[in-house]
Amino acid sequence: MSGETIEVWGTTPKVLESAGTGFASGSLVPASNTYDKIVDGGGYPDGQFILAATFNTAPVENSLISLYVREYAMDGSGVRTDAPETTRPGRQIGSFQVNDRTASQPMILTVNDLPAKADYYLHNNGTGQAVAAGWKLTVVPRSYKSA
Amino acid sequence: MATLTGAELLAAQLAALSTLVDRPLTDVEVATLTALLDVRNDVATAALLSIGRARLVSRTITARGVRGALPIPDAARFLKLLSDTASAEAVPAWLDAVLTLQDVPESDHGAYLDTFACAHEWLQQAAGLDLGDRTTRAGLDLIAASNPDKFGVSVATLKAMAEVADPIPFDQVSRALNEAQGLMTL
Repeated sequence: MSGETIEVWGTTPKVLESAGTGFASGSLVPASNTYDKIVDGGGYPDGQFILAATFNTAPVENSLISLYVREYAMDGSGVRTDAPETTRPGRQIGSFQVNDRTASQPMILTVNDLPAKADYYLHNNGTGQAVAAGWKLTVVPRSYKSA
Repeated sequence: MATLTGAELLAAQLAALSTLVDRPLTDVEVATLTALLDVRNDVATAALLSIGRARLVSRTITARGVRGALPIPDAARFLKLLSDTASAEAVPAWLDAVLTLQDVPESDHGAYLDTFACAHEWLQQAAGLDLGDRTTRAGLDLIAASNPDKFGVSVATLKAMAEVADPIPFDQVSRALNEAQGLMTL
Protein backbone atom coordinates (compact mmCIF):
# COMPACT_ATOMS: atom_id res chain seq x y z
CA MET A 1 0.00 0.00 0.00
CA SER A 2 1.10 3.54 -0.60
CA GLY A 3 -0.39 6.98 -0.59
CA GLU A 4 -2.70 6.38 2.33
CA THR A 5 -2.62 8.71 5.32
CA ILE A 6 -0.50 7.54 8.20
CA GLU A 7 0.38 9.07 11.55
CA VAL A 8 3.77 10.53 12.20
CA TRP A 9 5.11 11.37 15.65
CA GLY A 10 7.63 13.99 16.63
CA THR A 11 10.90 12.64 17.91
CA THR A 12 11.54 15.39 20.44
CA PRO A 13 8.94 15.55 23.19
CA LYS A 14 8.59 18.94 24.85
CA VAL A 15 8.69 18.95 28.62
CA LEU A 16 6.08 21.43 29.85
CA GLU A 17 6.80 20.73 33.51
CA SER A 18 9.59 18.59 34.89
CA ALA A 19 8.83 18.77 38.62
CA GLY A 20 5.61 20.61 39.41
CA THR A 21 4.52 21.77 42.83
CA GLY A 22 1.83 19.76 44.59
CA PHE A 23 -1.71 20.92 44.06
CA ALA A 24 -4.83 20.23 46.07
CA SER A 25 -8.14 18.85 44.91
CA GLY A 26 -10.12 21.54 43.17
CA SER A 27 -7.15 23.77 42.47
CA LEU A 28 -5.51 24.81 39.21
CA VAL A 29 -1.75 25.09 38.59
CA PRO A 30 0.34 26.15 35.61
CA ALA A 31 3.01 24.10 33.91
CA SER A 32 6.30 25.97 33.68
CA ASN A 33 6.91 25.98 29.94
CA THR A 34 5.01 27.25 26.92
CA TYR A 35 4.32 24.96 23.97
CA ASP A 36 4.72 26.53 20.53
CA LYS A 37 3.37 24.27 17.83
CA ILE A 38 5.81 25.64 15.23
CA VAL A 39 8.94 26.06 17.32
CA ASP A 40 8.53 23.06 19.61
CA GLY A 41 6.31 20.82 17.53
CA GLY A 42 7.67 21.31 14.03
CA GLY A 43 4.24 22.45 12.89
CA TYR A 44 2.60 19.15 13.79
CA PRO A 45 -1.03 19.98 14.56
CA ASP A 46 -1.80 17.49 17.30
CA GLY A 47 -0.15 16.34 20.47
CA GLN A 48 -0.11 13.55 22.98
CA PHE A 49 0.16 14.78 26.56
CA ILE A 50 1.78 12.48 29.08
CA LEU A 51 1.27 13.27 32.74
CA ALA A 52 3.20 11.36 35.39
CA ALA A 53 1.82 12.06 38.84
CA THR A 54 1.57 10.50 42.27
CA PHE A 55 -0.84 10.93 45.15
CA ASN A 56 0.01 10.54 48.83
CA THR A 57 -3.38 8.93 49.38
CA ALA A 58 -5.31 7.03 46.71
CA PRO A 59 -7.56 9.48 44.83
CA VAL A 60 -11.17 8.93 43.84
CA GLU A 61 -11.34 6.29 41.12
CA ASN A 62 -12.08 7.67 37.64
CA SER A 63 -11.91 11.28 38.75
CA LEU A 64 -10.10 13.69 36.45
CA ILE A 65 -7.14 15.95 36.00
CA SER A 66 -8.20 18.41 33.33
CA LEU A 67 -5.95 20.30 30.95
CA TYR A 68 -6.57 23.99 30.27
CA VAL A 69 -4.85 26.33 27.81
CA ARG A 70 -3.94 30.00 27.96
CA GLU A 71 -3.46 30.97 24.33
CA TYR A 72 -1.14 33.47 22.68
CA ALA A 73 -2.15 35.79 19.86
CA MET A 74 -0.37 34.84 16.64
CA ASP A 75 -0.07 38.39 15.33
CA GLY A 76 3.49 38.76 16.50
CA SER A 77 2.58 40.89 19.48
CA GLY A 78 3.29 38.18 22.00
CA VAL A 79 0.15 38.98 23.96
CA ARG A 80 -1.80 36.16 25.54
CA THR A 81 -5.12 35.83 27.23
CA ASP A 82 -5.33 36.82 30.87
CA ALA A 83 -4.27 34.22 33.40
CA PRO A 84 -7.02 31.79 34.35
CA GLU A 85 -9.25 32.82 37.22
CA THR A 86 -11.63 30.86 39.37
CA THR A 87 -14.60 32.23 37.51
CA ARG A 88 -12.85 32.25 34.11
CA PRO A 89 -10.56 29.27 33.85
CA GLY A 90 -10.04 29.43 30.10
CA ARG A 91 -10.50 26.65 27.61
CA GLN A 92 -10.37 23.03 28.67
CA ILE A 93 -8.96 20.79 25.95
CA GLY A 94 -9.31 17.42 27.63
CA SER A 95 -8.94 15.39 30.79
CA PHE A 96 -6.79 12.61 32.15
CA GLN A 97 -8.58 9.79 33.95
CA VAL A 98 -7.22 9.02 37.40
CA ASN A 99 -6.65 5.61 38.90
CA ASP A 100 -7.22 5.08 42.63
CA ARG A 101 -3.66 4.24 43.58
CA THR A 102 -0.73 6.04 45.10
CA ALA A 103 2.10 4.77 42.92
CA SER A 104 3.15 7.01 40.06
CA GLN A 105 0.67 6.64 37.23
CA PRO A 106 1.19 7.66 33.63
CA MET A 107 -1.88 9.39 32.25
CA ILE A 108 -2.18 9.99 28.52
CA LEU A 109 -4.35 12.40 26.58
CA THR A 110 -4.19 12.92 22.80
CA VAL A 111 -5.58 16.21 21.55
CA ASN A 112 -6.31 17.20 17.95
CA ASP A 113 -5.58 20.67 16.61
CA LEU A 114 -3.72 22.21 19.51
CA PRO A 115 -3.51 25.99 19.92
CA ALA A 116 -0.63 27.45 17.92
CA LYS A 117 1.05 28.63 21.10
CA ALA A 118 -0.18 28.33 24.64
CA ASP A 119 0.59 27.91 28.31
CA TYR A 120 -0.92 24.85 29.95
CA TYR A 121 -2.67 24.46 33.28
CA LEU A 122 -3.79 21.39 35.21
CA HIS A 123 -7.00 21.28 37.24
CA ASN A 124 -7.20 18.69 39.99
CA ASN A 125 -10.78 17.93 39.13
CA GLY A 126 -12.38 16.13 42.06
CA THR A 127 -9.73 13.56 42.91
CA GLY A 128 -10.23 14.36 46.59
CA GLN A 129 -6.48 14.21 47.16
CA ALA A 130 -3.53 16.48 46.53
CA VAL A 131 -1.28 15.65 43.60
CA ALA A 132 2.17 15.28 45.13
CA ALA A 133 4.99 17.62 44.17
CA GLY A 134 7.20 16.34 41.38
CA TRP A 135 4.62 15.71 38.67
CA LYS A 136 5.81 15.84 35.07
CA LEU A 137 3.93 16.90 31.94
CA THR A 138 5.26 16.23 28.45
CA VAL A 139 3.79 16.66 24.99
CA VAL A 140 4.72 14.63 21.90
CA PRO A 141 3.80 16.24 18.56
CA ARG A 142 1.66 14.27 16.11
CA SER A 143 0.83 14.78 12.46
CA TYR A 144 -0.16 12.87 9.33
CA LYS A 145 1.51 12.21 6.01
CA SER A 146 1.10 10.09 2.96
CA ALA A 147 2.67 6.68 3.15
CA MET B 1 -3.28 37.18 48.88
CA ALA B 2 -0.09 37.34 50.89
CA THR B 3 1.71 34.08 51.48
CA LEU B 4 0.55 32.52 54.71
CA THR B 5 2.85 30.93 57.23
CA GLY B 6 2.18 27.32 58.12
CA ALA B 7 0.39 28.27 61.32
CA GLU B 8 -1.66 30.97 59.60
CA LEU B 9 -2.64 28.60 56.84
CA LEU B 10 -3.74 25.94 59.31
CA ALA B 11 -5.76 28.48 61.26
CA ALA B 12 -7.41 29.76 58.09
CA GLN B 13 -8.25 26.26 56.94
CA LEU B 14 -9.69 25.24 60.30
CA ALA B 15 -11.77 28.41 60.36
CA ALA B 16 -13.03 27.65 56.85
CA LEU B 17 -14.03 24.12 57.86
CA SER B 18 -15.78 25.41 60.96
CA THR B 19 -17.76 27.79 58.77
CA LEU B 20 -18.55 24.97 56.36
CA VAL B 21 -20.02 22.73 59.05
CA ASP B 22 -21.55 25.70 60.88
CA ARG B 23 -20.24 24.77 64.31
CA PRO B 24 -17.01 24.98 66.30
CA LEU B 25 -14.57 22.13 65.73
CA THR B 26 -13.77 19.92 68.71
CA ASP B 27 -10.24 19.52 70.02
CA VAL B 28 -10.23 15.91 68.85
CA GLU B 29 -11.27 16.96 65.36
CA VAL B 30 -8.63 19.67 65.22
CA ALA B 31 -5.94 17.17 66.18
CA THR B 32 -6.98 14.76 63.43
CA LEU B 33 -7.61 17.48 60.87
CA THR B 34 -4.14 18.94 61.36
CA ALA B 35 -2.62 15.76 59.96
CA LEU B 36 -5.15 15.47 57.16
CA LEU B 37 -4.76 19.08 56.08
CA ASP B 38 -1.01 18.71 55.93
CA VAL B 39 -1.41 16.25 53.03
CA ARG B 40 -4.72 17.72 51.82
CA ASN B 41 -6.62 14.47 52.12
CA ASP B 42 -9.96 16.12 51.38
CA VAL B 43 -11.89 12.85 51.21
CA ALA B 44 -10.88 11.86 54.75
CA THR B 45 -11.47 15.43 55.95
CA ALA B 46 -15.01 15.36 54.59
CA ALA B 47 -15.62 11.93 56.12
CA LEU B 48 -14.44 13.11 59.53
CA LEU B 49 -16.64 16.18 59.48
CA SER B 50 -19.61 14.13 58.28
CA ILE B 51 -19.73 11.90 61.35
CA GLY B 52 -23.09 12.29 63.04
CA ARG B 53 -24.40 14.83 60.55
CA ALA B 54 -28.07 14.37 59.82
CA ARG B 55 -30.81 16.40 58.23
CA LEU B 56 -34.52 16.26 58.78
CA VAL B 57 -36.93 14.86 56.24
CA SER B 58 -40.69 14.69 56.25
CA ARG B 59 -41.71 11.37 57.80
CA THR B 60 -45.33 10.92 58.74
CA ILE B 61 -46.45 8.32 61.20
CA THR B 62 -49.79 7.10 62.52
CA ALA B 63 -50.65 5.49 65.83
CA ARG B 64 -50.28 2.18 64.04
CA GLY B 65 -46.79 3.24 62.99
CA VAL B 66 -45.89 4.16 66.55
CA ARG B 67 -46.92 0.70 67.68
CA GLY B 68 -44.75 -0.77 64.94
CA ALA B 69 -41.74 1.36 65.76
CA LEU B 70 -41.65 1.00 69.54
CA PRO B 71 -41.72 -2.01 71.85
CA ILE B 72 -45.28 -2.83 72.96
CA PRO B 73 -45.07 -1.38 76.51
CA ASP B 74 -43.29 1.76 75.32
CA ALA B 75 -45.79 2.36 72.52
CA ALA B 76 -48.70 1.88 74.91
CA ARG B 77 -47.24 4.32 77.44
CA PHE B 78 -46.47 6.91 74.77
CA LEU B 79 -49.89 6.74 73.15
CA LYS B 80 -51.69 6.77 76.49
CA LEU B 81 -49.83 9.91 77.54
CA LEU B 82 -50.87 11.60 74.32
CA SER B 83 -54.42 10.36 74.58
CA ASP B 84 -54.78 11.47 78.20
CA THR B 85 -53.24 14.85 77.40
CA ALA B 86 -55.44 15.39 74.37
CA SER B 87 -58.60 14.68 76.33
CA ALA B 88 -57.60 16.73 79.38
CA GLU B 89 -59.69 19.80 80.11
CA ALA B 90 -56.82 21.53 81.89
CA VAL B 91 -53.07 21.46 81.33
CA PRO B 92 -51.89 18.24 82.97
CA ALA B 93 -49.35 18.35 85.75
CA TRP B 94 -46.54 16.75 83.70
CA LEU B 95 -46.85 19.38 80.96
CA ASP B 96 -47.12 22.25 83.43
CA ALA B 97 -43.98 21.06 85.18
CA VAL B 98 -41.85 20.64 82.09
CA LEU B 99 -42.99 23.93 80.55
CA THR B 100 -42.28 25.75 83.79
CA LEU B 101 -38.81 24.23 83.88
CA GLN B 102 -38.25 25.63 80.40
CA ASP B 103 -39.44 29.09 81.41
CA VAL B 104 -42.50 29.00 79.20
CA PRO B 105 -44.96 31.61 80.54
CA GLU B 106 -47.92 29.99 82.25
CA SER B 107 -50.24 31.95 80.01
CA ASP B 108 -48.90 29.93 77.05
CA HIS B 109 -49.32 26.48 78.58
CA GLY B 110 -52.80 26.13 77.17
CA ALA B 111 -51.47 26.59 73.67
CA TYR B 112 -49.13 23.66 74.20
CA LEU B 113 -52.04 21.57 75.39
CA ASP B 114 -53.86 22.46 72.20
CA THR B 115 -50.81 21.45 70.15
CA PHE B 116 -50.67 18.05 71.85
CA ALA B 117 -54.36 17.56 71.14
CA CYS B 118 -53.70 18.23 67.46
CA ALA B 119 -50.79 15.82 67.44
CA HIS B 120 -52.93 13.10 68.94
CA GLU B 121 -55.68 13.76 66.41
CA TRP B 122 -53.25 13.63 63.49
CA LEU B 123 -51.83 10.34 64.75
CA GLN B 124 -55.30 8.84 64.34
CA GLN B 125 -55.63 10.06 60.74
CA ALA B 126 -54.22 8.40 57.65
CA ALA B 127 -52.08 11.46 56.85
CA GLY B 128 -50.37 10.99 60.19
CA LEU B 129 -48.07 13.17 62.25
CA ASP B 130 -44.88 14.51 60.66
CA LEU B 131 -41.88 13.50 62.76
CA GLY B 132 -39.66 15.84 60.73
CA ASP B 133 -41.73 18.87 61.65
CA ARG B 134 -39.92 21.09 64.12
CA THR B 135 -42.99 21.70 66.23
CA THR B 136 -43.60 17.97 66.45
CA ARG B 137 -40.02 17.42 67.49
CA ALA B 138 -40.25 20.15 70.12
CA GLY B 139 -43.32 18.43 71.51
CA LEU B 140 -41.53 15.10 71.58
CA ASP B 141 -38.67 16.74 73.46
CA LEU B 142 -41.14 17.95 76.09
CA ILE B 143 -42.42 14.41 76.53
CA ALA B 144 -38.88 13.09 76.91
CA ALA B 145 -38.00 15.85 79.36
CA SER B 146 -41.03 15.05 81.49
CA ASN B 147 -39.65 11.60 82.28
CA PRO B 148 -36.41 10.68 80.51
CA ASP B 149 -36.37 7.15 81.94
CA LYS B 150 -39.87 6.43 80.74
CA PHE B 151 -39.93 8.25 77.41
CA GLY B 152 -36.34 9.12 76.48
CA VAL B 153 -35.62 6.10 74.31
CA SER B 154 -39.04 6.14 72.68
CA VAL B 155 -38.74 9.78 71.73
CA ALA B 156 -35.22 9.27 70.40
CA THR B 157 -36.44 6.34 68.29
CA LEU B 158 -39.31 8.32 66.82
CA LYS B 159 -37.19 11.39 66.12
CA ALA B 160 -34.53 9.29 64.41
CA MET B 161 -37.13 8.07 61.92
CA ALA B 162 -37.12 11.53 60.33
CA GLU B 163 -33.35 11.91 60.22
CA VAL B 164 -31.15 10.89 57.30
CA ALA B 165 -27.38 11.03 57.00
CA ASP B 166 -26.12 14.33 55.63
CA PRO B 167 -22.48 13.84 54.65
CA ILE B 168 -20.45 16.77 53.36
CA PRO B 169 -19.31 16.29 49.75
CA PHE B 170 -15.54 16.42 49.64
CA ASP B 171 -15.55 18.95 46.80
CA GLN B 172 -17.14 21.42 49.21
CA VAL B 173 -14.24 20.77 51.56
CA SER B 174 -11.77 21.27 48.70
CA ARG B 175 -13.35 24.57 47.72
CA ALA B 176 -13.42 25.89 51.29
CA LEU B 177 -9.79 24.95 51.88
CA ASN B 178 -8.55 26.28 48.55
CA GLU B 179 -10.30 29.59 49.08
CA ALA B 180 -8.83 29.82 52.58
CA GLN B 181 -5.40 29.22 51.08
CA GLY B 182 -5.95 31.64 48.21
CA LEU B 183 -5.54 28.94 45.57
CA MET B 184 -7.20 29.24 42.21
CA THR B 185 -10.05 26.77 42.32
CA LEU B 186 -12.74 25.75 39.87
